[in-house]
Amino acid sequence: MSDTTGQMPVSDDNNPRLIAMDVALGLVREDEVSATIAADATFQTALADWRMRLAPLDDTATPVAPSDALWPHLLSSLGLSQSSAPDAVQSMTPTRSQPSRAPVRDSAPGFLAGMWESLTFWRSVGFAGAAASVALAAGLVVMTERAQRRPIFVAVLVTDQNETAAIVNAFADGTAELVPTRDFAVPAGKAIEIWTLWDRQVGPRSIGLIEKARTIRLDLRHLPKTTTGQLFEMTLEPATGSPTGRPTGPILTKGTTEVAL
Amino acid sequence: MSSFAPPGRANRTGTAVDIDNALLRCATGDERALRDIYDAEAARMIGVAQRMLKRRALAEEAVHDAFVLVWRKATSFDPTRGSGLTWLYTILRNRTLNILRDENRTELRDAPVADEIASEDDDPETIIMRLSDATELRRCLETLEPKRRNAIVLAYTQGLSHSDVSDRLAMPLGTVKSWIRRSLASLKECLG
Repeated sequence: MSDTTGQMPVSDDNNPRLIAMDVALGLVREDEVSATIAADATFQTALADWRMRLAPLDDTATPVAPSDALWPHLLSSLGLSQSSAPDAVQSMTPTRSQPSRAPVRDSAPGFLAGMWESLTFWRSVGFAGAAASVALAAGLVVMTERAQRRPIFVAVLVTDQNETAAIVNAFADGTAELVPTRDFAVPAGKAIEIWTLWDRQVGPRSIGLIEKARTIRLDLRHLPKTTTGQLFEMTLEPATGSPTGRPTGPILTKGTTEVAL
Repeated sequence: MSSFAPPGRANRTGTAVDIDNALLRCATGDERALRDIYDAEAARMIGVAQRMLKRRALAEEAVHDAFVLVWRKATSFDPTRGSGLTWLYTILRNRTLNILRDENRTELRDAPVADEIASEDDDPETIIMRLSDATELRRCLETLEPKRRNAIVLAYTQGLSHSDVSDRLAMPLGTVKSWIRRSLASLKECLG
């Protein structure tokens, strides 16, 4: 049924006010909306109104104190100085006045590798924030299909009884996977958190959380490229992960990477 | 109207932080302004992100990413078009939703982690009880039938998709969309 002005009739599927509801609730992502709707003033106003109506729900979340590493990490990503940092934080982020780069490892081709090089914020100065902000704004890391891939690094994780419990495969495209070969008894309310360590000054970084031993892809998006001698370990933590950003529970298994021949 | 910072939203010296003002200062490159926003909001932001992402490390990653976007986009914040607090949390929520959808898509798993870990923080009725009396939202949600208000709260706080809601409520996907929209329409009628 079209109206007399000849414009396209507004059905539920292209009604800007209704789509604004879906987006404000988070059922549909803002970047999934068609360009036509996104540009529509009615949509924008309705979306802003709905967000304001629902905003008090955010106030009901229980605050969770940030780990000590978060603020310095942020400063580093933005290339800001330490002047706004609290006194207690150790000064790991060099200032802008010395734009010397740490040695750059051989680059692998590809978008992921390029993003990681610019995100080695713990090692480099004069960090090019622009590249990272584009990557972050895009909001997506494209994980390629596995197809026939061979790992370039492998870590064999063993228990303190020296029994093999898991394998970590690191691939040339920057992705990695954890393949447990042994089961672990995980008590209720706990989970297995997976960590990697490449620089003792940086400390261990969490890259995965599983409720029982099973194969998973590892989340290495914000980390430097895997190298030889890089430590991977699994610890027992609370169900939502370590509250401190560092391992707190017992080490179940660990190992370091070696080059796969 | 600037966004008044409720009690508890303070910087390190205990002064209440006006988020609108802090964002305008960020736009001029004032790093201390970003620190003020961080002190006032980072903990709450991690809480919001963790309600959707469950994993603590991922929630901190979302908050990190949100602050980077806040700093880089601060010049685009227009106080005449809405509150700074809502602007801030919109950036956080968008980033968190992106991470959530990426995690669910790329993990080699049969069920998303988000489904496996529940806490009292996630219970919609508890959440509704916590809503401040300063807004009408709580009163108006309570005028809806429980299934409708819970669906709205769950969708918003946990970043559910239409098919997630359809699964949780055992409601056909085809009817979920319009059912939620009707619930929101009733909510809007109450809120005015």
